[in-house]
Amino acid sequence: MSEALSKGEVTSTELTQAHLDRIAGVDSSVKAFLHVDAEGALAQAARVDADRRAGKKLHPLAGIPLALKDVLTQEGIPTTAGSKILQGWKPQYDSTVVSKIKDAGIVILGKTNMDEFAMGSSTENSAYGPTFNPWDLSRTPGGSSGGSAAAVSAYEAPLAIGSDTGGSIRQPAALTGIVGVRPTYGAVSRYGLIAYSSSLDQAGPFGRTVLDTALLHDVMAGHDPKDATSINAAFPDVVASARKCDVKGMKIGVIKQLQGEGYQSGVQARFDESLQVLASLGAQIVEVDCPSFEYALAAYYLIAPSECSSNLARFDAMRYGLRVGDSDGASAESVMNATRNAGFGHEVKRRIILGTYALSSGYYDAYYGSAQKIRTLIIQDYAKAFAQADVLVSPTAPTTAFKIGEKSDDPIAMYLGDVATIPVNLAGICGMSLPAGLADEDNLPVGFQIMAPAMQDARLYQVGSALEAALVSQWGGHLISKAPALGGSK
Amino acid sequence: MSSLSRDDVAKLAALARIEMSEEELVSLASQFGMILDAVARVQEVNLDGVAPTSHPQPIHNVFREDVVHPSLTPAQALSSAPAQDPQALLQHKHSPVHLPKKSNAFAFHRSLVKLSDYTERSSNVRGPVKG
Repeated sequence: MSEALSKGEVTSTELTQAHLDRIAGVDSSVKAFLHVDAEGALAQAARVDADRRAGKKLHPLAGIPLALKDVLTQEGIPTTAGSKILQGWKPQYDSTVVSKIKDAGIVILGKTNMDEFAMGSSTENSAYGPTFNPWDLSRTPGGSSGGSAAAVSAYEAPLAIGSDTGGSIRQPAALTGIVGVRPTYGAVSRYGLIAYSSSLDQAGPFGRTVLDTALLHDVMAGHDPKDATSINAAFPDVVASARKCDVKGMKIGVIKQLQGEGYQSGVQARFDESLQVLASLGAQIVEVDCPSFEYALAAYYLIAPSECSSNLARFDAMRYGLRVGDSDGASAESVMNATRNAGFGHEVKRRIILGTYALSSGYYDAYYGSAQKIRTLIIQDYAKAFAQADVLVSPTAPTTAFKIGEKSDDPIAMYLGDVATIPVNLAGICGMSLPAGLADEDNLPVGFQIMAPAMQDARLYQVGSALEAALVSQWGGHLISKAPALGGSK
Repeated sequence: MSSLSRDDVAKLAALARIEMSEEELVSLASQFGMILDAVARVQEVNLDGVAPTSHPQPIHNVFREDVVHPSLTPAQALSSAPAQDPQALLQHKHSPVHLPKKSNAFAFHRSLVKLSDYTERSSNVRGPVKG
C-alpha cells in the first residue's frame, strides 16, 4: 500500500474511503469498532495527499489507515476503554502514541472494542457487547485488544494498535491469524494509555505482516518525558531487522513449561512444525527450563488486580464520566458507590475486589508480597534462559479461538488462556505472535510466540521475518488470505 | 479451600467504594474461594531471601527541568466533569462517617475541590485549603 501511495497509483483518500466502505459493509457482523471517525480520517487523508502532491518527504506509513484501541486517548474523539463509566467522554488531549501516529501521517479510522479497561481475554467483557472473530463469527477474537485484531483480520484496517498487560495483543493476534507485538516495557510511552496495571501495561502494534508491524512499532516507540517509566536509550532498529529474514546461527530456546499438556493438539503440531522450519533455516534449537513460570498466572492475577484497584480509584464520579445518584442530600460516598456500581462491569468489579483483598493489611505479605517475589524468580528464570538462547519461543495461546460464552462463566478457565503470554509482562520484556498455520481439528489460526530480552525487540522481528517468509512460501500466501470471506470486497 | 463470606465481600466492596446488589455479593463470594485457591499458589514456593519486584525496569528518580509548558485551561480541564462551575468541580458533601476525627473538611459543600484553591496554594498561601 505504501508503495502504491508513493507511486501515486492510489491516494490516501481513496484508500481511506475503501476501508470506511469495508467497515460499513462488514462491521455490523464483526463489531470491531466502537466509534468510526470518517470525517477526521478523510481530513487527515486529504492533508497527506496534499503534502504528497506538494512533494513533501513523507513517512512510509503516511496515508495508511489504522484502527486504534479505545484505551488510548485521542483529542475530541469518544474514548471509553470499553466501559460505561467513560461513556461520552471526549479527551482533551492526545496520548503520546496518537501524537506520534498523527505526526507520521497515519490515518486513524476509529476506536476499537476491547474488554472493559483491558480486563479480559475475549472482548466479551466490553460494556458495548462482544467483538466476533472474522474466521468464525460464533467465536471470540481473543482479547483484550479483540477489536483491533478483528479489524485487521477482517480487512477493515491494515494496521491497528492494541495494549498488552498479560497477553492482550499477542493472544488476539494468534486467534485472528495476524501479527502482534508487545514491546519492551518502557519502549512505548504510556502517556494517555488508560491505566489497568501500570507496571505491566504496554501499547503495541498489529499488522498483517512482520514488516508492516515493524514499521508501526518504529513510529510508536521512543522516549517520552511525559512518562517517567519510558526508557531513555536507543533501541536496535526493528525495521532493519524485519527485512533481514535470517536466523542462521541464532539460538532459539523452547521453554519446557510452555508446551505439551494443556495445549490443544493442533496448536502443538503447528508450533513443532514452525520449530522445524527455523531449524531448517539454520537456527539452533535448545530446550530451556523456567520452573517459576508455573506460578506466573497466580502472581499475575494478584499483581494486576492490586494495581487496578488503585488505578481505577480515579473513577470517582467527580472529574469525568458517569455520575449516578446525584440527588439533593446525597453524599460524596453514596454518589461514588452508586456510580461505580452502575459504571463498572462484573469482571472489573471482581478484579477491584480481589486487588482490594490482596492489598489489605493482614493479607498483603501473603498475597501481593509473595506475587512480587515470584516476579523476581520469573525474571531470574528468563535471565538464565537468555544466557542459553537469543530468543525464546512457545505457542502464543494454549487453544485456538473459543466460542463466545464458552468461558465467560468460568474466570479460572478464561485466565488459563494467558498462561504463555503473562511471563513476558511480569518480566517487562518483549514478545511477538505471528501466524503458524491452522489447527487441523478446527481450521482456526494458531500463533507462534517469540520472546526477547528487554530492549532487544529487534530480535523478534529478525526471527519473525525469517519464519514468516518460509511459512508464506510454503502456504503460497499469507495465512490471512485463507480466512473465509465476510461478504464485500477485500 | 479458601473462602470468603458474603459479608467479607460486602466489606471489601465498601472499601473499594462499589455498591453491590445482594445477588452480586453472593455470586462473587461463591467464586472467590476458587479464585483465591488459584492465586494462593504463590505461597507454595519458598520465597525466603527473594527480593520483591514492583517494577520491571531499573528506573529511579526521573527528574525534569522545572519549566512552564503549555497546559489545559481551567475550562478545558473541567469540561469532562459531570458537574462544574467555571472554576470548580462540584461534588456532594462527604458523609461524616468516612471522615477522620478533627477534620475541618465538614465545611465543604458542593464545592469540595476548587481549582482556585489550588491556584492560591501554589502561589504560597500557607496552610491547608479551608472551605
